[in-house]
Amino acid sequence: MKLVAPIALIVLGLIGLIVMGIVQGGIPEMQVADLLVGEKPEGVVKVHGLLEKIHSSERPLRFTVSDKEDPTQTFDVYCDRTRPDTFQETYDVAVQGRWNAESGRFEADQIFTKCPSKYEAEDKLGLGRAPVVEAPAKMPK
Amino acid sequence: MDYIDLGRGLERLALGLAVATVLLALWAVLSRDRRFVVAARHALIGGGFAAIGAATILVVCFFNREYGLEYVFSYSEKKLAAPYKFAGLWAGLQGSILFWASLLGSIGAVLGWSFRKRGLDPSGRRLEPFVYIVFATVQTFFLAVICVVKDPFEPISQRILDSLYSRAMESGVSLLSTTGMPMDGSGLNPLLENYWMTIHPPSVYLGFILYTVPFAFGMAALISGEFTSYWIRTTRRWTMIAWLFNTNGVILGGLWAYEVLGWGGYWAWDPVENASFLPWLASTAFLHSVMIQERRDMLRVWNAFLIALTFLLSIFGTYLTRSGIVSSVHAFSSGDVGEWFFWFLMFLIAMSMFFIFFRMTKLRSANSVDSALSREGVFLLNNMVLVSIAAAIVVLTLWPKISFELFGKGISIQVPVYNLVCTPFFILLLALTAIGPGTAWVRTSWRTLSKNLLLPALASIPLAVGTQYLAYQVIRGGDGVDPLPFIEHVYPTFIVTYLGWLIISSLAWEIVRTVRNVTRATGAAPAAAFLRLMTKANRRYGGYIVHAGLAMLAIGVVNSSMYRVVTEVRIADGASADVGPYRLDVRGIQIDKPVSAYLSTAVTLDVSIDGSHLATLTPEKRFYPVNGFRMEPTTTTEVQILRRPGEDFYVYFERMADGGDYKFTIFRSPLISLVWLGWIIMIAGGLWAAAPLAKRRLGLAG
Repeated sequence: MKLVAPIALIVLGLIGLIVMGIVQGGIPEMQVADLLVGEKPEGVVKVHGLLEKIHSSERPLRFTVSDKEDPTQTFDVYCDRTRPDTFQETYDVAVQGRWNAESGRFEADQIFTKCPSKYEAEDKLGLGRAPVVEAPAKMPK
Repeated sequence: MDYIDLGRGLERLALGLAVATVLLALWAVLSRDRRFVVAARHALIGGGFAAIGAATILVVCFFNREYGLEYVFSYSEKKLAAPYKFAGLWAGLQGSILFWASLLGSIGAVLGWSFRKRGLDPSGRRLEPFVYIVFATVQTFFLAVICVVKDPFEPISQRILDSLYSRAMESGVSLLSTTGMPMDGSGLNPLLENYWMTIHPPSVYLGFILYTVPFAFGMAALISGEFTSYWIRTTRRWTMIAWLFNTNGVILGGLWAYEVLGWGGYWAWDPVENASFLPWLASTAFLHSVMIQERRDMLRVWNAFLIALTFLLSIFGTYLTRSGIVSSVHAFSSGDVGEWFFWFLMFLIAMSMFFIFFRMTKLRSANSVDSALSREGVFLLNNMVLVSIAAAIVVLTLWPKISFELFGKGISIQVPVYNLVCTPFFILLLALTAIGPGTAWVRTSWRTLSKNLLLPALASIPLAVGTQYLAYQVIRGGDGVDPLPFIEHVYPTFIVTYLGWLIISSLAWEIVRTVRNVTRATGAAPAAAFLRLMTKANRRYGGYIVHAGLAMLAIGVVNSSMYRVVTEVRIADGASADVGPYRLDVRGIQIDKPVSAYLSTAVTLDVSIDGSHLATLTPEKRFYPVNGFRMEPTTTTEVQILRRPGEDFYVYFERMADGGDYKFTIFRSPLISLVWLGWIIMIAGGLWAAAPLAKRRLGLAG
């Protein structure tokens, strides 16, 4: 078989790139409660929760995110971005960024808000929570 | 019995006929009695009509405002325009599965009808009952999901009615009619009220569903051991048709995202975007490797694997969308259906793998690749690259779930990781696409290859440099953007642009050489020789056109992404702002009363360059207020795009800022028009390659 070497190279390259990509670019996901327990993570993390309160809807955005299970667990987020269309209180939200120990707040560089694309009537009528469905909020630099 | 009951009845009839098709075809195989094959065929055709009938009745329910059906209540309202009422059929989970089943039924009816043909290849006759067994099993699954788990004809739940009743009591506004049913629907998601909603989903669905036919033929051949050339010929033709719809669906999805979502891009490696791309990769690999089987009777196991993989990936995509396993812009919400799809997928994987291994000995070919530098060698490497990209996308898409199961901690994968992993493979794919047409079957010498590629390789240098220069002008004219040195853009931008041009120029050179040879041999005029080539070998030259379209698309994608400039501007009413060479003048704002279900706020912007007026744009915000049926207010943004040959000037109206200014985000994407041009060329090439197939051989008679 004349193609063993190039095929092996392709397969090894694939595995190598996937491992490198995940190690270098993978971002740990967690719930709000996980973020607040113990030491704060040093690197970039993605935190899922509910948009509890919007303090400033002008850029920079300032808002509070609460845990989905335990609403008493909350943290403040600062994000130097413009407000996405689907950024509304009580919506599912995920914020990606890092914890700033000095300011004691989470500084997000990306917000993922619920995209209400396929939620059902019960959700629209407030009878059930819409699924955790994410859409990357528009993020102009 | 009213017509809604008839709809329910037709769903169940379609299910019954699908089951009957499987049983009759099975009995035909066991008894070797052709009468049962004919009966199975009739059941398949009848089941198809029943499923189409059920879907038609659901559409009628949308137009007749049957808000007593939860599905119709959830996805429409009185003010909804007619096209979106029709599109309501696939707007939600239940309807989309019925739509799927009805399309599958239509294709099944065409398939059954085509087998009626006299003079059908004897191999086709022997395969027929096996094809029905596999095809109708898939059909049975989709219809069972509708009938057992998610029925779009389900009446509205008491919980919703109670909620509307109490809301009506609180507000004093009547929400329920005298029959106790809602007086209006809760409306379609505004983001879906876009004309692409009527075009894109059917195209994606058709692509996915059409892959069922090649799968059915592939599995039928594996089960029956009927490995004549008939099955592979038929499979290739159906795959080509499915591929056309799949290609269209993937790119239309990008176009929709570009025009609606407001972030200036068209591809974000969203799990469901990935899901539509995966079968495309596998089927593209098959369409190349099947040529090796036809030409040299090699890779039979590999081809059987690719046919199965393509269909399995289309079901995997459907599972991703409907299981909630990954978060996505497009995901439906349902756990039950996800489980059904999971186990169906497992069943299909087990069945495919079992029969491939079972027939491994019979499938093995005596021939092998003689040289890596040959047409088949290049095709095989192209296959490996395509399957590698598919494997990488599957792993990365599922990695949040996999990492959670393995390590108890989810790891999110973002766009840069996909780009890091996939870009080298895309580059390799383009390089192989450029080399492929210059190689011969069995063996090619380096000398011949160099001779075929030298001129195109040299010609591509100025073309690529010129393209880069054009795209680079956008960055140089960007506001506050420091132009990066050219060297920073060699990987991947210049390499992809160069390879794109190499593909186009090598194809052009190949055509020139062939036309010249024909002219010399026959004395025909070059134009006549060219036309004869294009029509006589339309499959080959159609494929070349597809390659040229792909090259164009690649040049567009890499330049529009890497050289995109994003500028935020804030302008007072009556004032102006400069964005690169463009001048924006705000000419006022229109705040309209709700003409539909929303309140519109549109800004009028004059766009000019050096005093020369280019266009008047009206970017808009739409606000959908709370009403009795919709509890959450929704805002959407209508972007405006000034399309120019060299770049798109894309305006997103952010909002009214403090002090009454208007805030906009401007995206300038150079050469983005090449993405859409490449798509049109690819589709044209695919149609050209398939044209005689549609005219003469669609009847599967071979």
